[in-house]
Amino acid sequence: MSLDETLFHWINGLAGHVPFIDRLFMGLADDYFMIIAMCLVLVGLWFGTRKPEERARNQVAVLKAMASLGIASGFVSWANVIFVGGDKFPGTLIHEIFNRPRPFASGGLTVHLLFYKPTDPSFPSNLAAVVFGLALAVWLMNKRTGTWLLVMAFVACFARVYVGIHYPSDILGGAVFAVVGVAITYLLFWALAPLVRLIIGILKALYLAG
Amino acid sequence: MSIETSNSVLSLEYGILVFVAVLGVIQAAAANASLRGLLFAPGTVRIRFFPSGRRWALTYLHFSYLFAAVTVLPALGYFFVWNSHNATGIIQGSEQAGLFVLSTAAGGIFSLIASSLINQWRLQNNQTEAKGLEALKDITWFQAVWRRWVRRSR
Repeated sequence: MSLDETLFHWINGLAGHVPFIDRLFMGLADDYFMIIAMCLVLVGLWFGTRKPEERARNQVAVLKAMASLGIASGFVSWANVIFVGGDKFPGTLIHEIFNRPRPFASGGLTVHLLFYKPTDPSFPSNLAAVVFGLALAVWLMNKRTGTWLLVMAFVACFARVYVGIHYPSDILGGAVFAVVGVAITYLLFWALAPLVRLIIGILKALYLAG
Repeated sequence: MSIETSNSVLSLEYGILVFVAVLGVIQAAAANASLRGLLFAPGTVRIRFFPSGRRWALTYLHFSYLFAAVTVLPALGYFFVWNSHNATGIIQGSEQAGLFVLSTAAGGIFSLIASSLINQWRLQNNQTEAKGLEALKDITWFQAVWRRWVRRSR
């Protein structure tokens, strides 16, 4: 058994013992709950800071988080389009990785499934890419809020393994996509700094930012 | 159990819940940043209980946090059990992103319009030199836009 499967067994093996904890992780692993909670934090960050300079900085962090989220999620979709499918890169390692079935569909594993059965391949975790992309982008500019968002991202991803729909390596893969997405976002914001200043300036003139 | 792609009922549910949650988050955030022009209740809210006649006074900060609690928590609670309730229905990622942006924008616009109408008379004599959101500490969004863009162009 690989390290990935051992880790999966260790985390998923915790399921099925305490109904209350199972219910809790089912909610935390929900397709919508954590993403929406984290996006609401971004809305709060946009309006909720007392000092104008700090608020302006947080608003740039929010824009970066939105861009990172989009880029990371786009990468996952793009990778699925490129690598998933029988006729593309057949027999190669990359084809195997991106077409890996979900843990409950792999056959050889005992899985405590507490979730509906997603039909797409297991690798990489789109949710991990999205939540880590968002959290990392904020963390680089606002350590306090960013740390909370990172904790939320970790909890959501742990829950996805707990309920039996992802291997730990799927989460790691999603997180790598997130790091790449954040790096590209920061590069884009650096390269397009005048455009970003213009957008913020327009929003400020409309009393929606600043 | 088969998985249906999103349908209009699920999308509407999602959109309304996000809209409601955004209203609450904006009120709590605006109260925290003292953006009184963006609040639905910028003064003290007095509640009188019947039949006891007991009075309860809430500051704008407490009222906004209470408003946030009664909007955000139920909405998030619903999302917490979404997959259990709609086990055969999902909203695709791209559609979810579009719906979230649309609902957030609608929540933001509603907050700006409602707070401007509610505070129109209360803040009409206030003056400010501040730019951007900072101006909403003293005046409403309508007043800010009117003074800068409409009155200046006359």
